[in-house]
Amino acid sequence: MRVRVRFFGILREFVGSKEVDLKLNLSDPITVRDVINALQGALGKNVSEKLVSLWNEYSSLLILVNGINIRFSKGLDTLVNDGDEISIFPPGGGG
Amino acid sequence: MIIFNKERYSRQLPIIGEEGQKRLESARVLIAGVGGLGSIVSIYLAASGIGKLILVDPDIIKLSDLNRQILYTSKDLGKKKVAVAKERLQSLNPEVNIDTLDEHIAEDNAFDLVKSADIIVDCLDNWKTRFILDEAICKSKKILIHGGIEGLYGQVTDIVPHETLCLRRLISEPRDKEFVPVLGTTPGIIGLIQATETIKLLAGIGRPLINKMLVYDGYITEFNIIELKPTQENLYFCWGECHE
Repeated sequence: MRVRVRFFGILREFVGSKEVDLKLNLSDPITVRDVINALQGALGKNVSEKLVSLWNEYSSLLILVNGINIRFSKGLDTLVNDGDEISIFPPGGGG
Repeated sequence: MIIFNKERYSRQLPIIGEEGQKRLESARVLIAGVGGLGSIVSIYLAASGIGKLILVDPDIIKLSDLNRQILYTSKDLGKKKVAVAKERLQSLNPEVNIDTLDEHIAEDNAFDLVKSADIIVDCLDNWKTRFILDEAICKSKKILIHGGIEGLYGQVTDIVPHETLCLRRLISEPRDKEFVPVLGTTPGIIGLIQATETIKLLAGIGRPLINKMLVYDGYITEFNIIELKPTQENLYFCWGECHE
C-alpha cells in the first residue's frame, strides 16, 4: 500500500520535509497510527513519538485523511487505504 | 439610496462591477481583533468601500506590536487600538461607517456582535476566543473568514453555514501558546488573503476558499491548498447540534 503524508506549518521545521511517500508492507487493516509509526523509518528524528505526543497531549495537531479530520472519526485508529493522502498540520494560533 | 464615489473605486469597478460595489457598500463586516491580521484586513476593507466595519479589540498599543500592526505608529503607544484604528481608517476612507468596541469577545456579547454583521473576519490571536466566536457563528449562521499565523506560517479558510464544517470541528481545539513568534510580514500576507476572501464573497466574484485550507510557508515561499471534505453527518452536526 502507498500513502502520501504531507506536513505543514511549524511541523516542517522538525520533520525537515514537506511530504513523504510511504510504501507500507503491512497486512490490512492499516491505521493512521501504523502510518505514523512508519514515518520513523522514513524520517528518523523521533518523528513518530513527537507526532503522537502532540496528538495526545495538546490537541494541537490537525490530521486529515483525504480532507477529513480524524479526531471526529476514530482518531489514530482511523483506517487508511491505498492511495490516501494524509495531511498533518499544527494550525497557527496567532493573529 | 446607495451612492458611492466612482472615482475612488475606479480601479476595482471593472473587476467587481457597480453591482458588486453596491454590495460592498451595503455590507457590515465584523473584524474580530485589530492586531497583526486585523490591521491589514481593516485597511483593505476600508479602502475597498465596505459600508460598515465593526472593530472589536480590548487591547492598548504596545511597542512589541509595531513590527506587524501597521495601523499604529510609535506615537500611538498606550492608546486604545480600536480608537486609533478608527481614526486611521476614517481618514483613509471617510465614506466607511466604523463602529468600535474595546472589549473582549466573550459568551455574553459574541452572539449580538456576530448577529450585527454579514461577514465576520477572524483576526484573533488565541483559540479560546476563536471558539467563543465560532459558537456564535454556528448559532447565527454567518460566514467566518478564519486566519491564523505562527512564525512564517499561516492558514486561511472560509467557514460557510451548511457548506463547510464549523471551526471547532474543522480544527479541533488546539491549546493556546503563551508566546507566538511572528515575522511581521506573515500577518500581512494572511490578512490580505482574508480581506480578498471577504470582498470576493460580498461582491460575488471568483471562487472562495470554501472547503479549502490555504496554508502559507514563508520559509520557502510556498502556498498549498488542503482540500477539505466534510461528511454530511459532520455538516449536520456542526450547524444543527454542535453548539447546542
